[in-house]
Amino acid sequence: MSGTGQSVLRQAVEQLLRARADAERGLDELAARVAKAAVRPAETARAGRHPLARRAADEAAALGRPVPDELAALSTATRAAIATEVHALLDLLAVNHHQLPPLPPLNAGPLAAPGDRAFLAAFSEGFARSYVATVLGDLSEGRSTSKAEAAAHPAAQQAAIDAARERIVDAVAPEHREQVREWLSHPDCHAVEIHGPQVTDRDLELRAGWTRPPDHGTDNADKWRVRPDDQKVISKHRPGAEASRFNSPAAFARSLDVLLSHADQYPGGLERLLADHADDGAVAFFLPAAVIDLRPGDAFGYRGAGTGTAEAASDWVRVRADAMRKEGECAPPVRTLTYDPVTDGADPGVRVVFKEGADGWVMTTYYPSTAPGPDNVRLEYPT
Amino acid sequence: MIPRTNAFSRYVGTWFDTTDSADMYIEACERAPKRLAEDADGSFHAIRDEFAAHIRDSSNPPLRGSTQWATDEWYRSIWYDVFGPEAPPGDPYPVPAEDWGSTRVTTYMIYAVNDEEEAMSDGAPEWLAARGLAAKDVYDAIGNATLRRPEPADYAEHLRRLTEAGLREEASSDG
Repeated sequence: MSGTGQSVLRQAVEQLLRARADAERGLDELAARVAKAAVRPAETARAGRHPLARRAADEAAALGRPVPDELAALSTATRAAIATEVHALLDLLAVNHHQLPPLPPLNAGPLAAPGDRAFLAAFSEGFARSYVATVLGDLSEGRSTSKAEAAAHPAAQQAAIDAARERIVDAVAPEHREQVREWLSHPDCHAVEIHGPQVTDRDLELRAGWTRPPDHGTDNADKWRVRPDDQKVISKHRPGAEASRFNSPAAFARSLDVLLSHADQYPGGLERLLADHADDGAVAFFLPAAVIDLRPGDAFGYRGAGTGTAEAASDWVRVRADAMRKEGECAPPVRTLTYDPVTDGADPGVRVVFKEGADGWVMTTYYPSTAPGPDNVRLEYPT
Repeated sequence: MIPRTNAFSRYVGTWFDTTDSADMYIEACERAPKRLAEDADGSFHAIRDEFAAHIRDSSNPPLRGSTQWATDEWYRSIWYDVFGPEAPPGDPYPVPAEDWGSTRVTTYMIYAVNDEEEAMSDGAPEWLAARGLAAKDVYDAIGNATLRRPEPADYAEHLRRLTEAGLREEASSDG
């Protein structure tokens, strides 16, 4: 293991919250079983009708009665112990939101009741509560894949990528087809390869979980591999905490049409639009979902479990980097879960990046996103 | 108050989002030395100076769902990744130099640095040398003890004074 680091702290928070869910479930079952176990002999004894049997029945029932109470106390104590540890870890991980350096203390009151809501209420509002909420919220759905499974996943077929590109080009307006074909065919453009409708759910799960590129195995793709002798993941593909795709050629094509229609109306056209928003020969636009009519179901992805705040997302990425190390010094695999960027996003849309090369402007990437990046140029205009 | 210029916003908006990929972020860090060296019109120096001023005055708006302090810290890490180990001039809370790459790990380090060349960004050796770091140390630090800096005890008061002096705007409460 690689010590007591950030990724270890993050994993510890996850483990404790998982333990809490297990304990709560286990104790609930036990309480139900104990209650039944005490009731059953009492009822059997009562059926004997004799006064002695009835007395035995009453005694058995009385003996069983305090057990659920004790179990409830045990549940509360377990929750409190776990919450205390989580709180201490968060204090180490990130500390404070307000004036005071240490986190405000845990509020033990709500822990007497079961359930996520009560558990969350014990943590102070702000960093601690939102961090626990984002990890807790994804806990039941998140799952991990093994390095071996990632390594064994079949290679992408160039023919499938080419076919998807053709279907996308067919789906754009006739006047934009030539331009879109040129963009999507350029060797520096990975939009179809990484985010096209031919990308499978499993491709996305492994991109998020193990940084394996969805076009793996094709000539132009990153040479991601799990090294056989020590299981270290070797790659220069660098995905963030979200891996997304467009579900259909039509959904992929729609925002390109909107972007190009806008460029057609822009004084000076596309060249001018890009140049006016560029920094050092690069430009990143954000097209809001409403503007491009990107609807629920048009996009899909896998994202890191418990990445709902910037801090939690950055910790998750570190755990992933840690998991990719050599056998024996790596962290356990990260968890991922499915999402719909449109329905799950705070401010969903599409991001598109262009770069100016020797042969003019190239679209390098293009993907559905839950939100614009910081200071991302928004293209908003009447549709 | 230093206004956030279009050039500065464009710079931040173009390069530093890593939600889908860290490629642009890494490229921005590796391009910076050349841009500074070949900056005939001074435009990139102006972006750098403005970057420093916004860190000094906490005058970048808080990132979505984040606090002013966490936002300032995000910009400090980008400053290090792009411009190097010297803290931005006037930074009221400079990061101790020895923290970088040991207890403080940046986005560039997580994505671009590896203990083996095959998995490292092409520009990483140069980037590391400019900061006096060794690849192996940084790679190990990714899994090592790293704690976020807590908000300083006087920070709220510090922000209040900056706001009163007109150096920053009070952020809306929803961030």
